[in-house]
Amino acid sequence: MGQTNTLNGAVILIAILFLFLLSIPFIISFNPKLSLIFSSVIYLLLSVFLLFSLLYGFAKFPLLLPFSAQLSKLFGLRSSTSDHITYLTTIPYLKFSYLFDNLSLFFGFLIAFLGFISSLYSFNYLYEEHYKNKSLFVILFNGFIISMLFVVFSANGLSFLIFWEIMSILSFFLVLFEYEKEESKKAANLYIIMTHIGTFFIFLLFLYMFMKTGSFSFEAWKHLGISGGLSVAGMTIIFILTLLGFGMKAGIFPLHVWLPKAHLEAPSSVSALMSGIMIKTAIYMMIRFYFEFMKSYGWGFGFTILLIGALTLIYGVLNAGIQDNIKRLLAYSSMENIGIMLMALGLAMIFYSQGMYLLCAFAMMALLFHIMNHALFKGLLFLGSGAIASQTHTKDMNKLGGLVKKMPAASFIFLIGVLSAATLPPFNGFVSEWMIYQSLLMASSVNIEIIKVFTPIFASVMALAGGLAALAFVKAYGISFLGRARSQGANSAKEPPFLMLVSMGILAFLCFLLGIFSFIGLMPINKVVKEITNISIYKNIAISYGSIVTLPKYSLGIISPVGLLAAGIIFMAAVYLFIKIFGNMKIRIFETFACGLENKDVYNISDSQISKNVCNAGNSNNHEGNNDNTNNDNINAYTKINNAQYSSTGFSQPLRRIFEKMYNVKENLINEEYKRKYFFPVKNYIFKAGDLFECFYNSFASKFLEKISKLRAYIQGGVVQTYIAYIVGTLIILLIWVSWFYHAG
Amino acid sequence: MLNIASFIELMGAFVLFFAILQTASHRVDFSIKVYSIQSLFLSITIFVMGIHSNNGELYLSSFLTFAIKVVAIPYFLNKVTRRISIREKIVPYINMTNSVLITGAITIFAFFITKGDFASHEFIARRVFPTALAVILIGVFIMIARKKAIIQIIGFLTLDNGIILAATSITKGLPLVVDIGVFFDVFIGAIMAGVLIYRIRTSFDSLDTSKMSNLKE
Repeated sequence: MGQTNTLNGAVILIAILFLFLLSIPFIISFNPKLSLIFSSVIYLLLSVFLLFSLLYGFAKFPLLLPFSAQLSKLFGLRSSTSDHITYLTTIPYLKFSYLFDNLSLFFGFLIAFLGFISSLYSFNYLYEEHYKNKSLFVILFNGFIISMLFVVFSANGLSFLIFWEIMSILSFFLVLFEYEKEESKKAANLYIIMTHIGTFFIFLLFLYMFMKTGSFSFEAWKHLGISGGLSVAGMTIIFILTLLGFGMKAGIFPLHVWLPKAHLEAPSSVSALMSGIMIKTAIYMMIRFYFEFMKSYGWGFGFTILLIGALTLIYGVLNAGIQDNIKRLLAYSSMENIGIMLMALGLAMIFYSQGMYLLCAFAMMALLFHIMNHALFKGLLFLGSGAIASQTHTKDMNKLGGLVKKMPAASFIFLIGVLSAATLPPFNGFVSEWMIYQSLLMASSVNIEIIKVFTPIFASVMALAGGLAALAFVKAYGISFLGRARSQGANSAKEPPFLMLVSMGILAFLCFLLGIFSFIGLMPINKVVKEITNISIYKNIAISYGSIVTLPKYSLGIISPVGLLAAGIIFMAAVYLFIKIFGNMKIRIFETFACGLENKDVYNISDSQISKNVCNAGNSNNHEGNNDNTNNDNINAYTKINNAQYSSTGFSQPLRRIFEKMYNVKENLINEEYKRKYFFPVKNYIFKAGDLFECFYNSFASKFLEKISKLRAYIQGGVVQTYIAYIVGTLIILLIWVSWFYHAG
Repeated sequence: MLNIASFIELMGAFVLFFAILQTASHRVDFSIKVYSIQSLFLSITIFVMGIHSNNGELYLSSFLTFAIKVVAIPYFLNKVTRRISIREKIVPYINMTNSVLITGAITIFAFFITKGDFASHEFIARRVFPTALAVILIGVFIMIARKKAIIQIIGFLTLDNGIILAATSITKGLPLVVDIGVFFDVFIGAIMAGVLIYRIRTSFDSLDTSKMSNLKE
């Protein structure tokens, strides 16, 4: 393991070079545009470098410079014979050592690549959203990406914790970026509290590992795993602490409360990074712990992870279905995808514990591929939602609509992201989820009754979740892009600027590319899987014509994304021809269909009048300046009708009714004016979809605090006599203690 | 045969007796009288200890006890009570009967915890120390169990008597400088408490400290 990755002086030199390059965006942060251009170039270079070293190993770097040894001595770096770079400090146990194995290189590549995309995007986005302190954004943003890079490359518990905390705090400030907003403050507070609870468990975990090994370095922990020096109880402790500590960051089922709020409030390019890669650093550490630091555990651990993954999946997707805020919907969809990843991780652990390394390698490959794909399509979707929000100044889908005409390129790109996220072929989300389905079905070959019983249940949960995810994304796309505009903002939207489109376009292209030629993505992943399980299954599953086969030994499924695309094209062509030959091909150009509502021709008003006045329903009384308009009432009636389109809230109503118990939904219909109770009453419909667990935690916390404060009021009564009594009580206890324990014998 | 150690113990027992009587007192002026008599027995105890150990400083200590605790402080407290005209009865948290029973328990407890070898060197009178401890605890008990601020001062003074009794019984008298310092402290403390009581009375219209919990928050 890692022979090909032995570091040489050239690599250290490149690392130092990159450190210098990465500091440039900070230095020139007074000019945000220049800084973002620099950083995007640097992240692109870095991602190419990391991908190259992942694919071919460090040995291929031919530029062995003669003075690299002196340089590394100058910076106090020490490369041992292993694949570590270590920076020693004078503080005991605190060594900044960095590990470049295939797993960390893979995650580092994803971080650098997504960093490249989002800095490219931020170049325009910052000015579209009119943020006030752009330089601060650049500093926090670059610091966030770099801290994530350091997190995945850290090979020492203490240095890992330092960078992990830097990452958490910088992302906290990014969530708080629009600090005037009350929601931002609440979301950021919740996020920092929950993430620190998670860090508390990570502290406990690392201390436990330190107690066991006497060292904080990951290498020693790996030796502990190999030597089998852990009892079952010890492994259970590590398992639970890892699950709690890193699960908090990943947003697993009961600990997810911060996730939708923080993703909602952060600037979109940051939400793309947070959802795309930050929550996956937790999965990265779970892989490290469950596959490197722990060996030979029972199947129960994997089954627990599988179960939690299934719960996360179903809860996330159910909540994604009813959200009206597009970024909240995407955040819950991230939670769903974390669930899918956890299921794959759990399956890999089950196979690993049973010694079925081929299946383990397959599940692991599916997991890493899904991580990659989710980073791509969820990054794309968050960037797209940012584009929508910056153009229409709202994230509420009930106020969007008709965007496909206003921003055709952006809506096409967003459509690709939506199709990927809804796991439809020929896009990448489909391939990785298909692989996870296959590994789930192959779990029936595990010789344990419980797993055999539960496999079909999990498979059906995944199928249900797939359907519900499709529903959520049909809603996300259909309500916001199709139909007619529901508000002035949506009506006056324009195409987002060039670089935003380009950055989203790159991601969309990659979604398509990895959906068709999936083996391109599986090639680097195979290296990682080989490192973890010592098995290379790339040759086994990727045969020619780009098809993916489940392992021949357990042949259950075969899929060819290219073939699927070809089949789809042929089918579409056949349908087109069928309609052409037999159908009525008369094309009629008409106003957008909005669910059978009357169109503007009825009201005899022109387009320019509509664009001036449209969609002010609700506040229709602000037409003082339009006295010359003869048909003002007509326009207002028309705008009201636009708001009567099938709305996002209405779309998700069946889901709300069916799964009523799973939600914390508040619906109210309030009469605004009692005088007009019977003749055209003005009513206000209030709808609030909260998180069930947030409500639960809140009530728990308030009850707990109430108890505490009652107890405090009881103890601190404010009566002088009570305080004297405490003193005397202490004195008497001490007297008894002294007389019994010091003078008894 | 009444030897001198027994006599010291008897005097100590009287100090304890008046401390217990203090808890049974219903009226403020009676409490002050009881305190005065208790201090008189304390000064006699110290005087007899001085005879026993032939320590000249103890005579001075005894004289100071008499001058301050028997004469000055009761005089001052009487003046304060007359000035703010306290005629109400002592309002207890725990009523008199129970208070007396609890003081009995406290005394037993004090003897119980001092039954071992407490200090290596010899005592003048072995049983004075647990008595003094009981007086200390009863003083604190008075402070806890009574609502009126003036009775709490008397409780504090009782506690101080107990401390002096314990100190003289263990160490054959404190150094004179410390002694004078302690007396001065108590005297100033009593005067300040008296002034404070006057202030409390004028601003709260009552000496009931349970009403002072309004000051919270």
